[in-house]
Amino acid sequence: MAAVKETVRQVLAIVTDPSYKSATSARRQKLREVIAPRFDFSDMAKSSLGYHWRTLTPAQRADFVRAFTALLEASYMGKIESYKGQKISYLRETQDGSYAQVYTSIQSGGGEPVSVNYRLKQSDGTWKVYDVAIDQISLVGNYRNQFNRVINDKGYAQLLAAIKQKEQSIDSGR
Amino acid sequence: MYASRTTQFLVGIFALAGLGALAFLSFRLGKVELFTPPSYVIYASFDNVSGLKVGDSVEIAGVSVGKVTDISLSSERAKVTMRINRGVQIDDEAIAAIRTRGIIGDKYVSISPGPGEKMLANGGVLRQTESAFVLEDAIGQLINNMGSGGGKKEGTEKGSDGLNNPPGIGDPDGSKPQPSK
Repeated sequence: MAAVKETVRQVLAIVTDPSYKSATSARRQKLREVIAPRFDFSDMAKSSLGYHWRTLTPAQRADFVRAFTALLEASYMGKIESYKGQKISYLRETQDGSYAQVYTSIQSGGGEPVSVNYRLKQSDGTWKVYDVAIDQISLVGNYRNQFNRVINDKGYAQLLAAIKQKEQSIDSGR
Repeated sequence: MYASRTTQFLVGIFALAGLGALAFLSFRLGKVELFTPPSYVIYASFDNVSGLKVGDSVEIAGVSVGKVTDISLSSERAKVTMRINRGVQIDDEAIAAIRTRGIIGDKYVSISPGPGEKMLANGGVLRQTESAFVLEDAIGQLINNMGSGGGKKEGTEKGSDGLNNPPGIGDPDGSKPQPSK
């Protein structure tokens, strides 16, 4: 729990720092530095691909991890940056050996709070997030369903192209 | 008067064979497994299993591969015990999700195979799980979303490229322009 709290605190400190207001690329870089050690993006990428991961060559895997990380960044950086003082509460945590889950909720405006649960795995002494469940919907699980559908319909090359295209369309739409 | 010894012997054999057949039939029909257990047990913990019952099926790609044999509470989460048919391999990074069949249908556990190299053995644990969809919660959220300016859930709309992000955080009112789909 402390690990998640600390990372969220750092992220919010950067996002709410007025000195970064006009320097978006510097802020992004700073955010990356804070987020990268806490999130295991290669594990998320691997898990999102599901059983198809086993059929990829090491070079393809590295390429996919890069594309996937870029997609996540394009999808969520903007959301993080649009933070406007929503209240984040830490509800509880459960731990089972080297696996843990931290339950948080984000209260925004007058709406019902959105639950955000971080799933962490401990390896080499550090806790890293391998999945995030928003509103009980697992990010990795959601991607796995979609990726599997695309791969089974059109093949892996099409999926990779679609991910890259999606990432670019989000980036250019900003 | 008395039948010959041979006849008595033959009747005895026939009766024994009949009993044997009956025993075989009852074991087969009753699905009693006497010697080799053709299945193994795995566990998964969920935040919410609302509606799942013992005896519900466990499926991979829609194919039934086992049954839920026990549901219990373990440190504020629901621990589900599943018996998986022998010969079905599930890796340690598979995701177990509770899904609903039809609109008011039964619940079942859907397992989507993962990239893991290690296959689960008897007593293995699935770490990645997705909870049951609770209609009341979903309706509550929908009403709330409509109340707060008609913000829509991104995760539920289908893009033309078939790739969507799960519901986003920090953008609950949809104020941020979405990329054109």
